[in-house]
Amino acid sequence: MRRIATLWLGVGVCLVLLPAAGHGLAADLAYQPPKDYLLEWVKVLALLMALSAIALIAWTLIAYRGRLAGFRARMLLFIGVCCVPFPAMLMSTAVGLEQSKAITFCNSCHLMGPFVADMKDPDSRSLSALHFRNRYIQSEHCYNCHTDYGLFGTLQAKLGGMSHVWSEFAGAGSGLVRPKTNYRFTICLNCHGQSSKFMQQKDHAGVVNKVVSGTLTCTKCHHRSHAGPSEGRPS
Amino acid sequence: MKQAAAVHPHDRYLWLSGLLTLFGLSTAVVFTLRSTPYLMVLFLGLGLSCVAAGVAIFAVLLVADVRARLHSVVERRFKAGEAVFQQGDFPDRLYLIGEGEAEVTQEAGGGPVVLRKLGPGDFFGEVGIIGNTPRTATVRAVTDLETLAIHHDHFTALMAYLPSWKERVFDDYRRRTSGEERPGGPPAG
Repeated sequence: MRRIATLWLGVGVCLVLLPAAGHGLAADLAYQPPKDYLLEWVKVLALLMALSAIALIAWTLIAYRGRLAGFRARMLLFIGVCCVPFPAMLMSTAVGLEQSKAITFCNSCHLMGPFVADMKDPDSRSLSALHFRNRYIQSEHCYNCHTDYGLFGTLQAKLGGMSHVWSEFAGAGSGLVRPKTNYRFTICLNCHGQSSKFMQQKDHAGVVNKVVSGTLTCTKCHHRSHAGPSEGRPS
Repeated sequence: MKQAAAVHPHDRYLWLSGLLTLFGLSTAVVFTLRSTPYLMVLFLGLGLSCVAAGVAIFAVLLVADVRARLHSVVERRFKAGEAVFQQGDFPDRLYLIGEGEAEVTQEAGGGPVVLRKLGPGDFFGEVGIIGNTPRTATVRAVTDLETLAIHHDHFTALMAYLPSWKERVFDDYRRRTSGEERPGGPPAG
């Protein structure tokens, strides 16, 4: 009896420790930055709230069919329709918009595939590939370079992206994504403008003012941001 | 023959409100689990609108219901020839006649049949409320009619405080539903 108990204890300890050992091994092979646990919790909470509201509404609609105007059914619907969905939708929007910053989000649209492929290409000389390869940007690479800072920058980027999606969805898209306006190279200056490496470059003297005024672009001297159409990829 | 239960006119709108919210919440679940541009358009464009529409419909119905409950006893006037309610309507109120005359008619095979005439002091509309069935007859004002309309929730509460009236109403209800008023015919009122 004692042996069996010891055996079971050993199995239990192995079951607990093996994943940890495996995780350590995996961590050695490829380091993954820590997860955003707040986002994970909000995601779980939003899902729980939405699913419980769905269950409550569905049950009320079925169980009180023909008697929905009664007090009890109205109270249940009030909780399911008015109380729970508001925080659930708010959290879902926050989680969804936060997740939409990831490269996987942009890459889920087939039109973006060539851009992401070029960015991840170790032999590519484009600026996006250079930034990705050297981890100049830690994460959310597409979002960081294509969004102005601040709330309105984010909003503009989302609306611009949505209009692209809508035109593709409605069949008005040409199968090629072109920016609605010229790229604002001041976004580059948000990181580069104050760095000592940038400032020490003699060629960069007076460049900031020209970039801000729009008379000079970074790609005038540097390699282009993404691979061009000559390489079979849209610019 | 057992009459089908009366369905409140708000019922179908509450159903619609629930369904819209269900759809909106489903898009939220999908969008939370997997963010893609198309799902984003679906959620932000359709999901949020559906939930907003569901809440708006529910809120409008709630306000209407609260208003009806607040105005549980109201005076209602009808012109001669005007219908107080039609056969098949939802039984929302019981009516007490203050002044004027009304007639109770019921649709039969050959057209409407007059069941009886009502005058000051009479009441009508209790059959649907007590039996929770749609109106079994049409009541129309013969002359200009002045009534006191009692909301059906308030009516059941009133019954508890007025036992003698309760007895009278229930006697009348039994008489009408048993077919005494019109031998062989269905209940009226």
